Amino acid sequence: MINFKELSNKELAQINKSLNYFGGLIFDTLIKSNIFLINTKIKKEIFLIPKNNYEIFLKFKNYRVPYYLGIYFGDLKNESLFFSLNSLQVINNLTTKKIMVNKQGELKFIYGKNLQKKHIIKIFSNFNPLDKMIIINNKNEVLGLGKTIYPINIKFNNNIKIKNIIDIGWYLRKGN
Amino acid sequence: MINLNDVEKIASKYQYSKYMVARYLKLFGLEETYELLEANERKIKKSIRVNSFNIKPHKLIKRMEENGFEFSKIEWDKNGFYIDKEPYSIGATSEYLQGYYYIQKAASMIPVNILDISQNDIVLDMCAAPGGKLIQAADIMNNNGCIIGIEYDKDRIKSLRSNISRCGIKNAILFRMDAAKFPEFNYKVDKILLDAPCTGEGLIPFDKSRKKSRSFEDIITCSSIQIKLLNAAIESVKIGGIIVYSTCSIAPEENELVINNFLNKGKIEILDTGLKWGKSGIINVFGNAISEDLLKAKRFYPHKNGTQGFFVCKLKVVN
Ligand SMILES: C[S@@+](CC[C@H](N)C(=O)[O-])C[C@H]1O[C@@H](n2cnc3c(N)ncnc32)[C@H](O)[C@@H]1O
Repeated sequence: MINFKELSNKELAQINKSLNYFGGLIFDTLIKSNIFLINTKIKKEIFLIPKNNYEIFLKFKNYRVPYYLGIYFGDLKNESLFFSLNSLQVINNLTTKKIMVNKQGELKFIYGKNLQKKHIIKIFSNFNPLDKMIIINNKNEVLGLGKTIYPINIKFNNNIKIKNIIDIGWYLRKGN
Repeated sequence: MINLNDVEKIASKYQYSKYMVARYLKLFGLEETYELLEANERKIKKSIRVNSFNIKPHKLIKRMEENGFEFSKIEWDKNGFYIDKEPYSIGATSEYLQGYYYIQKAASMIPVNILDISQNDIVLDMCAAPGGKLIQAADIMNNNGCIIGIEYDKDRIKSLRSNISRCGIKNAILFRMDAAKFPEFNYKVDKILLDAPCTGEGLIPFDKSRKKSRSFEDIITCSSIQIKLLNAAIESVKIGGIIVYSTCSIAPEENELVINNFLNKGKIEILDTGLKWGKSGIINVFGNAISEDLLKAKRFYPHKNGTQGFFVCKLKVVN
């Protein structure tokens, strides 16, 4: 049985929609040189594969199912994409849905903790309650994904509480 | 002839299995055996290799030096650095989490460096976990081309996946399988890294239990697996393609003798590694002469190079 397959139009539309929140051009930019594949063995894992590697995969797929290929882009759940750390890195420079934190915020966040106003140094766009955003440090490096409890205004005039959804500390806590 | 009293005395002083000491005395003589065993007691410097497609090495080093780390260059890898001062764990920095480096032993950086990899190659890494060499290859390829990584251990392939995710590798296809079966794919690659499973005799500086934990039979068992894997490698590379064979063992049965097995079959030839470091391969194995071509293989030792014990040989498939 082949576990990795190309996405249906419906699944592609769901990914497009999830990416669209972060920026209108991201999906099209990615599929220019890559292919999305889905692995439904355990959950619906999405992978992004460079096109040349996809061609190699096609040659192998009748012999054996790969364990992993390209980058793991996230999981498709309830018709939307749950972003992986790698996918956040891929879209970081293509989005303004992000918030920059100071050193103290960085340490808190990579230990899996939530963020408050005192941790924030830059807000790149406005956010509604439950909106998600990429959390970056002052070097524009991805720390993970957060979700705001209250509305956030670019001018900082709100109470801020950002919940940690995923962070790169995962590599130490669970990754090895 | 070796002196049995020496064997007894040395094995008891350094706490090794006697058969190992007897073998060292035959291979290296008394003086060098002492040097090796003394060096095995000392710490080997830790090292990292920078993923230069993620960050320029000098930038990373500067950044980490600002946090109190100190480094010095590894001669044989422009992205490799010894850690001279480690104020906190090198495996728990934010730069580590960003995938800017992999903690890799200095000698382990050699095989990929002599594989002549170019950006668009298709490279097969037959024993890939936990992934140091695969990540190094991806770095040299600037994340282009394709690396087929094979690993059969269920837990080790998980850490391989985590490591390549952390380092942002996107040009790998991983299979969980016995690499000896790769020829069934009927697919020829440009370059092969065979960093073979071994008895780890070169790792005693890191793991003192290895002084006694493996028997001579274990060496022979490993050797037969290594022969099987090298045979599969030879079947899987294009004519003219390169295979680099390496182990972290210093037993000739796991190294020179594995390669010697294939030399009279007309399929491979040994190439010069081009390395100015390391000792030549052994061609007189416990009194038996083997092909002189094996002088082109390289051996690294704690007492000579300050590294773990390591063997590397570069092969070209000619037929
Ligand atoms: C010396 S380690 C490889 C280290 C790796 N090249 C690196 O740089 O991180 C050897 C690996 O080969 C795996 N292995 C052993 N026999 C194998 C086989 N027949 N096929 C595939 N992998 C195998 C072991 O589980 C182990 O992870």
